[in-house]
Amino acid sequence: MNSVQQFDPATDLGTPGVLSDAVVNVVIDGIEIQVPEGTSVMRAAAIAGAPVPKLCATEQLEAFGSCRLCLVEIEGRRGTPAACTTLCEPGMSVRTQSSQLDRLRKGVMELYISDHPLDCLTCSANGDCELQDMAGVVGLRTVRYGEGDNHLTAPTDASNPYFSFDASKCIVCSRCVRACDEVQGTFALTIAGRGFDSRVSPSEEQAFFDSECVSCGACVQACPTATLQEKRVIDVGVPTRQVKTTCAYCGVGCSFVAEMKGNEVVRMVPDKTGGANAGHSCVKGRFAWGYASHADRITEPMIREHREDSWQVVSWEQAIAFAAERFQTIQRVHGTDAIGGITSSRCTNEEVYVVQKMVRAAFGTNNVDTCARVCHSPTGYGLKQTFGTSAGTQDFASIDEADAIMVIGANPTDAHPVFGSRMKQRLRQGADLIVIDPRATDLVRSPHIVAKHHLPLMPGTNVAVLNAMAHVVVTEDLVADAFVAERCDATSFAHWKAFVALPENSPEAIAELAGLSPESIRHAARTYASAHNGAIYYGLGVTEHSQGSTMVMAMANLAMATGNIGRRGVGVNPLRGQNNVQGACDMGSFPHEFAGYRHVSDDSVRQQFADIWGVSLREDPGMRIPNMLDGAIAGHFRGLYVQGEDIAQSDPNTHHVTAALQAMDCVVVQDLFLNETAKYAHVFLPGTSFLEKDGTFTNAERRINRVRPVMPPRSGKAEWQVTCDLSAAMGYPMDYPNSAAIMDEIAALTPTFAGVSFSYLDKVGSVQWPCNDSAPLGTPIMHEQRFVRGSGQFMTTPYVPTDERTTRKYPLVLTTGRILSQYNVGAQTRRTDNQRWHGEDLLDIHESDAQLRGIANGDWIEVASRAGTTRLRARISSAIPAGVVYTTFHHPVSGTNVITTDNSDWATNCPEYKVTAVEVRPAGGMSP
Amino acid sequence: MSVWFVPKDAAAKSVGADQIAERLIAQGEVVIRTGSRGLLWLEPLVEWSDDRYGDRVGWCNVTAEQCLDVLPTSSDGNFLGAVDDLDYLARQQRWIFERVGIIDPLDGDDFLYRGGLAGLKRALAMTPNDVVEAIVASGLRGRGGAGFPAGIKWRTVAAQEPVAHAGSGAGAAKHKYICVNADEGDSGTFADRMLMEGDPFCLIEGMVIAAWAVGADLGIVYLRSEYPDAIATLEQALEQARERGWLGANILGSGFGFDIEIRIGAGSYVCGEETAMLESIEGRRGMVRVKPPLPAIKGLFGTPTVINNVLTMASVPSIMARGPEAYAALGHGRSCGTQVFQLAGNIARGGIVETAFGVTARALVHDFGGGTRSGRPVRAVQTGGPLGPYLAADELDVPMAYEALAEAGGMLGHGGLVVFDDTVDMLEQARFAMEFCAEESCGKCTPCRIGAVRGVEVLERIAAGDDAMQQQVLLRDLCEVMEMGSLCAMGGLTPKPVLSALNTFSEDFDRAGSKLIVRSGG
Amino acid sequence: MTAATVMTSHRLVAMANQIANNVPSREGVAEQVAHHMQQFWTPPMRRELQLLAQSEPELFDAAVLDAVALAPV
Repeated sequence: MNSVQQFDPATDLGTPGVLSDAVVNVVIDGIEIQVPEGTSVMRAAAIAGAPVPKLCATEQLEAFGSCRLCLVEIEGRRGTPAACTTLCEPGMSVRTQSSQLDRLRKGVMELYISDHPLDCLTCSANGDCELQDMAGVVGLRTVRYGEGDNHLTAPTDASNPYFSFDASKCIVCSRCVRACDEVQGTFALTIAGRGFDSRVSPSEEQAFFDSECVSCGACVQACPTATLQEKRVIDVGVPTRQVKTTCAYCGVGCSFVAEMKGNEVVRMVPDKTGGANAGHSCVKGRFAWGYASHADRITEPMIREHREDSWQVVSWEQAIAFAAERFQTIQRVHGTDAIGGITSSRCTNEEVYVVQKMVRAAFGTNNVDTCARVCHSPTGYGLKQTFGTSAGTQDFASIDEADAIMVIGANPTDAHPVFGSRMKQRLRQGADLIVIDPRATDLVRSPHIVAKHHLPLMPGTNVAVLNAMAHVVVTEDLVADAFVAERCDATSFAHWKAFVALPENSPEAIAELAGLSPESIRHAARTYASAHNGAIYYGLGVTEHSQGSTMVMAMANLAMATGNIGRRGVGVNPLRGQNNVQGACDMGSFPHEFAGYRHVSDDSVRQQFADIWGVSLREDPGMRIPNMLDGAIAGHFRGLYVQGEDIAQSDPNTHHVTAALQAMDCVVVQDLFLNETAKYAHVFLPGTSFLEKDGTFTNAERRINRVRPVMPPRSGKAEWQVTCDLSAAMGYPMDYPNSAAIMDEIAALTPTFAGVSFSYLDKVGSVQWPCNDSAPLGTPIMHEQRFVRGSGQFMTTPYVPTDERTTRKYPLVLTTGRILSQYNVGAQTRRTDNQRWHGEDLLDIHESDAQLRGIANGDWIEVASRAGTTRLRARISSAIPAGVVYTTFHHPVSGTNVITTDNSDWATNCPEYKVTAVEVRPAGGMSP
Repeated sequence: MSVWFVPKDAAAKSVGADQIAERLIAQGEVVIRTGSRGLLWLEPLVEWSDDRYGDRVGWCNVTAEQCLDVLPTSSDGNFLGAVDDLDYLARQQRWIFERVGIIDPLDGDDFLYRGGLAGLKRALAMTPNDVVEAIVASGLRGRGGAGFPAGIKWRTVAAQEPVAHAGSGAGAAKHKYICVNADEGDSGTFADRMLMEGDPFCLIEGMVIAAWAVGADLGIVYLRSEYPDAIATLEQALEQARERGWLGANILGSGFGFDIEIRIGAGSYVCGEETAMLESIEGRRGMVRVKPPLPAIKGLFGTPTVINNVLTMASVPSIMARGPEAYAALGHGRSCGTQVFQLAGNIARGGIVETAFGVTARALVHDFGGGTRSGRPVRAVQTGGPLGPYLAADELDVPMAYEALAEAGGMLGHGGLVVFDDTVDMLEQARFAMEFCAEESCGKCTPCRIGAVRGVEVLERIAAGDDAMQQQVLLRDLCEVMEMGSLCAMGGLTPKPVLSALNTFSEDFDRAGSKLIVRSGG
Repeated sequence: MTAATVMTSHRLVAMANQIANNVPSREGVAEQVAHHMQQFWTPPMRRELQLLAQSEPELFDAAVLDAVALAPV
């Protein structure tokens, strides 16, 4: 028996891999090989080192069998079946080469080329074209068909800003159509016409830009020719080198291959070996990275004496010395605790770690907080209380086994598109969908998906609705008794059960205040509780409430009571907003915790840090961001180091934030751009884009991914070096030879990271923490045998309405969210062509509310809350219920946070962005 | 009471049957509208009997004017005498078409009187498994063209558990389907249509038996929009069948439930291919699916599905009624039972000939069909539809049966025979085959999508005498690619008529040099 | 006290009252509030709350007043 040859993992094996316990033995060109049952002949042949020519097949898509280039001969079978659609059967003997097959493949290729431009030398895909490759493989030398019908003059659609569609080069393999269907799930593309007239068509014969296309790039990725091609490649040419790295947008954490020409990025291509994305991408990660080289980028340090002065470009040394001197002066005059720092979820674990270390060790205070304060701090609190650790329970792949998927306060198709696509794949396979959201998000009804239950609840009533669902579970005998008995704390369960069983928690009792029918709540509860595997996915619609932490605990309770925790297909899963929210929290960015979520008052933990850091550490919690801002206004907090967060735009109640910033003596901003916060800063330290960073991001599934520099820092310094320099100037040197050494220190001090190092990640690709001696390969699913805290703790969750009530003066509830093409405050996406999809924030308003106020679609309107007033244009929408209005916050000019209030989560002070009582009236006149 | 029988089959209506019926009714006569007897050259064929169930005499090619004042009489020139004694009919063995042309297709009592439901009643008295085995034993093979044993297909479906529709939620109802492919698209075939217009209950009965045998609960008949009369007739028949308890939750009091829906296709030839039909029924573009999975395991909406042609399904009631052994005793080799041959093209006596497999093509064309309508010599007979090969005049002694015909280079297909006289240009016929493929290709696979267009172009070059020998080589290469490389039979069979024309009638392709060469025998 | 400091002081009371309203169990509210402040509040914040409890007790929920008494600064 010949041994199986090694194959390059980058090779496309043609059809998706299959998981099967059963194996079959087949012989391919005399090579005996064993493959999982269900493997195609094509894949087996490629593994055996006898790849079969192919054009319509790719392992990212199900076999389609249309190109007919992969024909093979099988002993004992008539004809020449296609290798892609023929499955291996025991004892099968396959021939991939014969004179007949040569003739047929050449004949097929001759047909292709008879309708294809012969401009290879000037084609943008020259050297990167599967058609070209295959013509070579089959040895086509002449095309005997003379002039005939063809598509050589078919037009090019260049409407999409990032890629073009050259119909003359299309070979109608349907890979783009299938990628849109199977991978992305948007179903924007189809084949129009029949026979020779078949052609790829976006939506109903529209231009790409005008169609339902979401520019995820899956079609471009799938295209074997230059038909769908990045405009960058057309302009710049094919790349010459590549670097694997991680996207810096949302918490999905997609792996990308940055394809480079020198130090210029040609394109970002999703990495099919990426643990989080498996080769898929969205419009932001795939295309919207041009901000990194935008002209607005600041690459030199700047200082100014007073914030009214203009900026002065200085050397790094001058800037660092200036900042250090100011901070030290403040501490001398106002005390050690008069300064603090904010870490950024956009930065690497290593960059975050050194900032919090600088604050604790060099500043000598625990006044460090992170921008996760304003998004997922309730997740950390709630999951720690119930399960024992502050993180989501599953890997993304777990959803492939979920039977009922409950999406609460999240809009994954816009905000976490790559995971949204994976979720849609599972939903199309038949999993039930429950959406709890005031808005009819796209997920509620999309191609081949209809939510089984959509509960459009009033913003602010999450806890009441979850309690009512729990009421149904305990009163209708839907509790997973065995799981609860074995895995959970009996006393707390009994308390919780008695509590949710109270009549005041019944669906009937809370239906009216939630704006739902009791039946809809009962049905949804039954669907979730009786599913074999029920999984909860949630977003900021859960956390950004005055009861955000309570709601997280309510979901954890429900999951435990129904036994939906501790295996694949279940779980409680936060969809993290930013690329490194999880990591920033893990790294000890919260004022009360060291890395690994250990309280600063824990003497033994504190001693470990003190020993390695060589400095004594404070045992009392420091200030949270809102405490710092309040302290600034009160006059005792006077200096702030802000790493990559634009609090003046992103934090609520802008007037309050800017007043606080104005009250400080020294604000240091480290960022790519002169953002809103920088208007109040004294020192600007230029940051690095993700393309320049060397470190790690941790995504929503606790996956630690490597971020690799594809070019040197444009500012000349890595961000962690800048922080170290400032720390040294403050009297506490931190000497790391490189960022790998920072991770080594993190691993040494953090039990859940003990097995993590750059070299290990470079070897395995990525790993999910906990990664240590007891879990050397990481932990895709948490709480499998026991909860981290031992037994699962039920927490009673009384519903307490927010103080933010609607009144006659402010009768509407404003809620906020994100859309696909823009990202958070828009600092990145606004500096790309994504602007073309979403050039301004709009206020969505229900038709009846609009009519009542004489507002028409597109009118300028004024939105007023107790905190402030802003102006937006109105869009009449049926996706929100009457009484609720909705907007995004991607554009500073919209001033969305001018109107959001100081209300916050009771346990974590996460702002209540999702509920603001407002009134809306026609603004009259033109734009503000 | 005397009764007139006037067909309302579309073929009879196209030559004035409706006007005849109106005239007769206007004159106070009792008229029953029937299907067609299948003697198409005689239409309108009007029959009369002194009793509804009595022996009938007939008149052929009746005109409305003929019925204007006086009723047709036996002294009229087009009087045929006893219809059942007509040689054309008397020599047939009608199992499937036993009632077609005789009964009012929408009169359930008529259907019962002529033996309807006997097969179903017998089947319901048997276990489902025994019914499957009876069909296996009968040797019934699929009439769609491939000739796959129907009983084996049923056995596979019977062995599957019902499955919920792909993509439906947990707890969704589980199903198996019976799908009848009535997308009769071959030129020169019309048996499906005539059966559905002439005896729709027969098809329904066959489907119920199949459903009982395999444990299916839902049935679909996939019809083409070009068959409005068949659609209307079948719809009314389904309605009546439900009223009479022949369909629905409790069929004939057995407790067994099954119902049937009609789906209309938009006239794409390729939807006659079973997986493309499934795609079309599911609301998608009619494109061929890759097999496996077999539809019997994962068919309509992902459920186990029996897919049979109309004639296959309509064979089932009489097999059950008369016994599988009787059926299996008919035929030729492994081609058991009867086939409904359809004679068309340039033929004197076109129509339906249902007879046991094994009859020769010559008997069909000459004895039944009476040779060409033009009176000129037969030059070629195309069997198996537009993608079937041609038999030359001296090859007609081949028995019409799956294996025997295939050995002779022919193809049984759906049982159609299209006759050409000696004026036919076989190069033009070859070109037509490629053009038909180009026209009807779904466009999924390359050999069919591009190959058919190139085939037309190559044949046009040959016709123009351009580089004809090289082009013939190219044509043969192309045919190999299409035959061996195409995804489905559409592209895979197109080379058959092309190559058979090229091989058997090569003189028609030899136009090299000039158009001076005059074809011999012209 | 400046207006600004009054405002932020009152925010502290509001925060404490909100915690008292929201802690999971209705039993032992004061202990839960005290524990929460111990875990998440800086000592100066706790001290300030203590002072306010003496000067403006009318702003406080009863449980918070108890919690202030329980919580060591």
